[in-house]
Amino acid sequence: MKKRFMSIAALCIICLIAASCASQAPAANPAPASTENTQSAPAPAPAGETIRVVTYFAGSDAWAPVWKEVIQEYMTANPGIIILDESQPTAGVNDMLKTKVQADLAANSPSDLMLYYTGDAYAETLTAQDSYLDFTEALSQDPEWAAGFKQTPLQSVQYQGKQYTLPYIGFYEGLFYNKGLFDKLGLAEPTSWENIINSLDALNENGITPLASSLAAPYFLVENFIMAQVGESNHRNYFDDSWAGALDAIAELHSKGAFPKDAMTLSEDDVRLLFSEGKAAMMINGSWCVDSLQSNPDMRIISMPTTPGGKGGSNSAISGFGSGWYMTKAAASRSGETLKLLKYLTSPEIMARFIAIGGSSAIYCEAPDSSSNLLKSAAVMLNTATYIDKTLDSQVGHEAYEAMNGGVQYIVEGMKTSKEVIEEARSLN
Amino acid sequence: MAMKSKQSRSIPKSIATHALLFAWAVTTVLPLLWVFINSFKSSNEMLRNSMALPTSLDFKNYATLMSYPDVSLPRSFLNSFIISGSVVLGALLLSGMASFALSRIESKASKYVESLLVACLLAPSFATIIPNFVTVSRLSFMKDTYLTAIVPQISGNLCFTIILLTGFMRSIPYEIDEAAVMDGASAPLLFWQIAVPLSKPMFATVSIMVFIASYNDLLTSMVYLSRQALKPVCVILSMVSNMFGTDYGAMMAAIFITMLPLMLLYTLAQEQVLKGLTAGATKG
Amino acid sequence: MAVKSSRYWLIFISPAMFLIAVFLLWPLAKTVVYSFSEWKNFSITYTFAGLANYKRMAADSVIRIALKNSGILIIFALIFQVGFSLLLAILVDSVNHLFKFYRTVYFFPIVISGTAIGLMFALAYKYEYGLLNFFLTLFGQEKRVWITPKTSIFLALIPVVWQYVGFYFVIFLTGLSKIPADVYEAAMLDGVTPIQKAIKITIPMLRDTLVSCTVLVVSGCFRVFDTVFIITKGGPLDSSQFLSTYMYKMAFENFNGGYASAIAMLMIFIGVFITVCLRKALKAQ
Repeated sequence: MKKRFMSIAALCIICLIAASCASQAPAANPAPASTENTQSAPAPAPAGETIRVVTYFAGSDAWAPVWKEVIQEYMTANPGIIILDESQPTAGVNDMLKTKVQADLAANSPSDLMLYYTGDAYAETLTAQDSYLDFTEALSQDPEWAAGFKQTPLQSVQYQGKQYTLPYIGFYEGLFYNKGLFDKLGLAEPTSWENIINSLDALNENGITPLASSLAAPYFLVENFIMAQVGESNHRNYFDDSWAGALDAIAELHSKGAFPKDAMTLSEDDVRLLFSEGKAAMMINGSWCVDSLQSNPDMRIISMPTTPGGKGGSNSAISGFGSGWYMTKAAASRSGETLKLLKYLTSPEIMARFIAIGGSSAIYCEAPDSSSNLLKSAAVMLNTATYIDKTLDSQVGHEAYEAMNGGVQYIVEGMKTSKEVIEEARSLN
Repeated sequence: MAMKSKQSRSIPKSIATHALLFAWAVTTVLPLLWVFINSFKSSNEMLRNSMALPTSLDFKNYATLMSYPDVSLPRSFLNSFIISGSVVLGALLLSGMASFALSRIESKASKYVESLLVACLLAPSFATIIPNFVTVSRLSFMKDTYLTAIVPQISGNLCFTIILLTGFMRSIPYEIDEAAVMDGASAPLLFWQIAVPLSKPMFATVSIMVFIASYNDLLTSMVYLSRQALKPVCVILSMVSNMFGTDYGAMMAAIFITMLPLMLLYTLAQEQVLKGLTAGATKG
Repeated sequence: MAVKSSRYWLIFISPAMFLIAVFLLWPLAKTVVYSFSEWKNFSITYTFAGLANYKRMAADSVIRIALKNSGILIIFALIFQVGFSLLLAILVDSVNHLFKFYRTVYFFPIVISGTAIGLMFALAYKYEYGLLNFFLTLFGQEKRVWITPKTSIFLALIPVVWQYVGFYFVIFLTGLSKIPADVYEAAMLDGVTPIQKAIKITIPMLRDTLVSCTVLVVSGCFRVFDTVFIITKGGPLDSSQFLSTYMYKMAFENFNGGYASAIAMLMIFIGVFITVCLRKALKAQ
């Protein structure tokens, strides 16, 4: 018995020694993970450099395998350059990427290159220390590179007239519906508010949830209803009184039984399951769902139709570039290597490889084949819209945004009015 | 142990006792089985019916875990054991000493220190993580080493280990110390020859708990260790989710394989608890 | 106590206190400062805001719900994690067979992450495809929505309380091991019943362990997070919000670090107050 205690103690001590030894090793060699490449490569170029990069291409992220390939190829082609990949997964509750970036900023050691969220709320935090580069000059010095970017995305991610971000992969949101279910029950497709209201009873009678949505996290729902309600006129007029109509429309749908019975606690994964399994006829969601849905020829996406008294609808759409590349001034003044890497990553060839996995492109490149019915309807939606704006969470303050979304439960239960919720949100913005 | 339990009891009573104990055992074993069963299902299959047996013995989820481009499982397991092993050693040593001072050396300050420990126990991780990262990144000798995760984790576990060990050491009869002091023993000698040996069962129990806490500490590992090659195995739990959803099947597989070493370790280490306690009982 | 050397007291306590000061007290001091400031988006700058955050807290109805919920959780946790675990430990300590088996399996829930346990219970409570509704339909009943504003707190605290019973069970079992066998033998000669034995001998001898476990249980109630967050997200209508989940929401969803810090201060203040009272009460007995 005593022997076992000793052996456990010995094991622990070995662990500790290993810890201290192993902790020396990386200090001696800048990157153990990538030594295989650098060692097999010919004599390193004199300009050897380690570039720290953080993205959300980690773990089960759809783009992670392409990302790994791309940076491996780059390191092989550019001996002496070591890309230190600090990517972190980003996912709802466990958003490690945000925590990591915040911590790096607080310690004043941000990564050289970073693929991170865009929008005023984020840009304000990031630029507070003045450590990020304004790309305007770099773009004007390299017209060929600059010409690769589509103008709308490029402008949409500017902050106070400065280009701290270069857009990369984009998305869109809208009302998904299962055309097959509507056809089967002889219902008109949900292209107008009346059609939606008229279909509710028939769908419910047949055991189909009309609109899969979670009121625990009603972000997409609220976002799209606001666009349908205010359209171009007031979408940028944050928390205007006219927004209340969108929340009332949600309450009306709720009172008519449009949402799942457990909408108050439903998770986003369950919402998607209900819709993809044909247990729900409609869903409000984004382009990230397209990949798993497009094999079903019945799937369509449209802009949320105009809500009662609203001004939006098919003339407007939600689409944008929620993330983009940031580069530190420190990396720019150290050498041209980081910028060179960024130019490589934003070249049409590399962009095409990412877009083949999903999303829309900020750079002119070969688009993947869009043959599915769902993708075609998405193209129609975006082409029909004369007003396209990005999501609200990248425009308004976090607290106001949460107050508005959190208020939805209280509105549908009749415990608060939509005006009260909008006013509360406005006061927090 | 056997001596203590050799109490004559009527058979119906014994059956009732076992019925209760067994019923509780069922509630603790089922979740494990549940995780295991669901690790062979796809995400949708699991959401549809998580209680059914999987349609086939499919190791796809385990293959998915192996396929993540930035994780090497053997390396991650090694990292976990290096980090958590060191955290256990550090926490035991420091908290053992502190508990000895709090429980067996007279000082008016002790009770204030204990209240302070409770306050620290309640400190939320969101409040400590960023300031601590700044502190750690200023200590350049720790840069890019396991120490960046080990040192904050030791500190984070200290309050809880000190509270438990102090409680345990208090219940060792003080007469033993008094007799030893008569024989001329000093405080370090009392610590090493009386407090530590007699507290072995609690040291063993606490080390298991610290090991588990450290092993499962996702937040610290992700934030403090920027280099993938140093990251422990629990990070794969975060890898199964991405911004577009969660692969629940892979999540179950990840939970199961990260859990296995812990269960093995506990089964092995509890023998140590048992041994320590018999020794304590005879000496006490 | 045999030793009264303040020099040795300092020598033994300072290494631990040094780490605690650097990694816990220092951030805690910052939290105090932030709670009196307007600090958003984890920015490096913050401005002094006086009592604004505390005033907001006093008017916030969710805080009252969270306090009530924390109170309910503490009561249940004390009953089950202290009372029931102690019962289990005494019973397991007394059985001749399966001792090792019980000791091993009771600990299993702690090894599983809170995320997995939360997910498991969430899947049981679901409306579509949920386990409870599966059984209801099996017996010809209508499916029902389980998590409502009235039930949410109880459904959320079942897994929380259940998971840590094994943790305190192991600690009590360790404590029991220290009670010398001859104490029991002497009692047995006097012919005491097992219940008398537990009340008169076991519990008094475990008092120090009981006190430390009570402290841990109460502080644990304030830290409960991932399980609840996954099952109910604090809803519906904030009915299952705890101080910890609400603070998380303020810090990581609303990015209002100042207000979250004020909530943290409230949590620490109440937590210390309750544990000090409990400690006094238990020691006085």
